[in-house]
Amino acid sequence: MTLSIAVRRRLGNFALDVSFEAGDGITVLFGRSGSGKTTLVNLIAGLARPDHGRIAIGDHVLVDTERGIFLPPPARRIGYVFQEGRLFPHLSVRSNLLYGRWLTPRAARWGRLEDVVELLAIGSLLGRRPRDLSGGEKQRVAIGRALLASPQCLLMDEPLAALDRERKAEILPFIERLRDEMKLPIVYVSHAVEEVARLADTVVLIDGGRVAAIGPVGQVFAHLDGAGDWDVGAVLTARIVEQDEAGGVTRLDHPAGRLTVQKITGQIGDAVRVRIRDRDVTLAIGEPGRLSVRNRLAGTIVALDEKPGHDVAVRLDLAGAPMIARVTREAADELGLRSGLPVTALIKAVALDGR
Amino acid sequence: MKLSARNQIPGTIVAVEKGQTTAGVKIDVGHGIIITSSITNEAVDDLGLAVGDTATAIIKASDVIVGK
Repeated sequence: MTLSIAVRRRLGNFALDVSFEAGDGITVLFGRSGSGKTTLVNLIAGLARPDHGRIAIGDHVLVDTERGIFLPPPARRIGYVFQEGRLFPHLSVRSNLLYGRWLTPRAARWGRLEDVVELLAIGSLLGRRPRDLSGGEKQRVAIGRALLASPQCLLMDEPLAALDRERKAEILPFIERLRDEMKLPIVYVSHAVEEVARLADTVVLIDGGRVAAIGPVGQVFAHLDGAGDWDVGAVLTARIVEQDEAGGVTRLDHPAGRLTVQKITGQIGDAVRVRIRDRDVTLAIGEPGRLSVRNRLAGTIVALDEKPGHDVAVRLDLAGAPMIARVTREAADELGLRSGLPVTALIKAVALDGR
Repeated sequence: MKLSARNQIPGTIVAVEKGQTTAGVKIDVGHGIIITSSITNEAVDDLGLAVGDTATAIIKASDVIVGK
């Protein structure tokens, strides 16, 4: 199923004008606050009308201003997961889950309670009331309720923003399962780099009401001008090649070199994404020599981006994968950094975020 | 070898304390100043770091906090 969007809407001085398609898996809408993400979500959900345009899921048209079509929210078959779970406090978890189901015509139902309960591991919570759930459990139930309405598309609006780090870590694997096991377009709004790096199949970068970039997470993040805003250096996809239990580390293979990260769970051969912050990268010209730094990736400088008052962003190509390293102007001059120059990117092992 | 890191301070290793996965390495850089580094045990073994060795502490400019 594919969600197709081509809409325009003006709100005072602000104009939203975007078009893109989202297939099965997670499409992240990423951007600063005020960039238009929420307006776009409201247009998809049916909480606002576009001035012009069309939104459809497969051949199910939700809005078409040319043809005068505007389906109200319940007719859209879209599951919505908010920042706050918004569960019904007086109903048990089971009743909350089944509430969504009753809104869907019998013939259109595909979500089965047992499957959803198993997917989200919420079997032991069914008899409880929302007040007896942790924040992470509430969000799992909210996701389950959305799925049991048998949606054709899932909208997740900053679903982890209200959770602390540990609760986030607890719920991320479930969102990954959702992404990998459900044949469903999931539109996921977030401004948290870590979350996006881990979850996104496709990132739509929204800036000033327009699509500034769209593509796989590694490519789109390399377009971001870090300059203090996001501090994204790279999102590399690598494979687990060794689990060193004694050393407490996991070794990963990337075409540009070997990476050692603190122990992460996974099997040999699994693909994982590693996010590296631009400030954690040191560049070396020539053989780096005897250094404690475990991670050395071979690359070539693509360009140097400079902005007054900021360090230089050095754009690298690491065997096809983009990366940004941030170094001082002085270092760039002294090393004679220029496009086309081969360099080694050094990253301290402990600075890597694996999964 | 040339590095982009701005601060490269030579000294002598005065302690190597291995933990579960990372090790604390203390480098005396003179003037009574000790720089402590946290690196992997593997790096300690690889470089054969031991008390008395000369070593260089390398710190990115963006990692330096300034106090007054």
